[in-house]
Amino acid sequence: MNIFRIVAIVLIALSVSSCTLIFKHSGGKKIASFEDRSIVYGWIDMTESGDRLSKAVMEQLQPVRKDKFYTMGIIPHEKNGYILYHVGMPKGTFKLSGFAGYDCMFAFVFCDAGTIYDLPKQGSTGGVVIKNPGTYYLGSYQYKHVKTRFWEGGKYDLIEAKNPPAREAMLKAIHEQLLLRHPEHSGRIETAMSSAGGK
Amino acid sequence: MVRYLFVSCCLILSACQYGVRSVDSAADILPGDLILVGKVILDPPLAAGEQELGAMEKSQANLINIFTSQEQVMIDPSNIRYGDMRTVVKAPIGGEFFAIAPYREANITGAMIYLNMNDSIYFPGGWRYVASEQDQAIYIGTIKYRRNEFYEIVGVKVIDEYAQANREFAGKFGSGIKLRKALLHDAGQ
Repeated sequence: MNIFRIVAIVLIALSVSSCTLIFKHSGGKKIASFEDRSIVYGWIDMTESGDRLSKAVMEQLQPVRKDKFYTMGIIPHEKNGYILYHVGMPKGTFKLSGFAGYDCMFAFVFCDAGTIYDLPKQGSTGGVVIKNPGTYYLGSYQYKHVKTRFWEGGKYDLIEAKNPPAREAMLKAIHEQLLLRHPEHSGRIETAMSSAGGK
Repeated sequence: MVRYLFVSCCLILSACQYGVRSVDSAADILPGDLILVGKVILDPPLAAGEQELGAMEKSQANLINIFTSQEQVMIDPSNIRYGDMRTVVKAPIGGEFFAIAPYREANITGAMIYLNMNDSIYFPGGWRYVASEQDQAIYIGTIKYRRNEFYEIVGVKVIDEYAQANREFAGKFGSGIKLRKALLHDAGQ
């Protein structure tokens, strides 16, 4: 087997494993039953950052657990916008803990090493409280660059997006994505679509 | 050479110290010191495991840092400097604190709890305490911060629990020092 084949297999394996993260517990265990799980979704506009969103992570604040991070699925939606979603969130209080992005000079070449954007634990931006299994809307946010002095570190803010896509459109995009890879979960999205986008 | 190295190490280690002195008995008090007595409560309190502190930050476990200043300002969470940390009162969360006041008259400009190495939660200030030259110890009250599930402060009030504090104070410092009630008041007044 030549080296190109090995690299191709590794890349495919990696991409497949990352696609299935949205069906996993924090810590990587597969979720056995989705009956008590919820769908969480939201949207981020990264226009001002210029980065392509590559990762977003939710942190469970309550109840306190050791395995508390949930990696979200990402769907590019509208110009420089990204839908974040997870279909297996348990009950509890969650908050967007951080996201990461990268920029390339041309298409997919000459890319930078990426930037990690952390969010403070204090504050309800990107937060959601899941009380009962269902569909929960995280909100739509816009990345905003904060001007700092020369010797200060870079800062940013997440503000409420002015013209976010409709919730129905976001659910439709998630539905299409699930139909493609995991049709068994599409029914839950259809229920949410019929109830006008969830809570 | 070894002596210089030893002195340098001591200086570096002492620079890691911050805040005003906490006292535990009459023997810790120097002439002219003013003891500040009070308490900070969180509602709901922090659950076990909410503070994830490593070996280096263990001293911050169950501790709230109360910022004091002679200026009538609020602490800027994104720009805390060494000067701000110099006059911090380190208080156990939910327990009475006994600390040497940095000033006879000062403002409480905010408070902070370390959750982990990268994350802290900030609490608003906006009160003032005033002690006279004769005072050796003052009771400033219990500050009760009410928070929501995202650590946002949704309510705050100062409660008078003087009787309980005075009992604890007498147990530590004896009856030779009088604890005067001087509850925190709005810094704008």
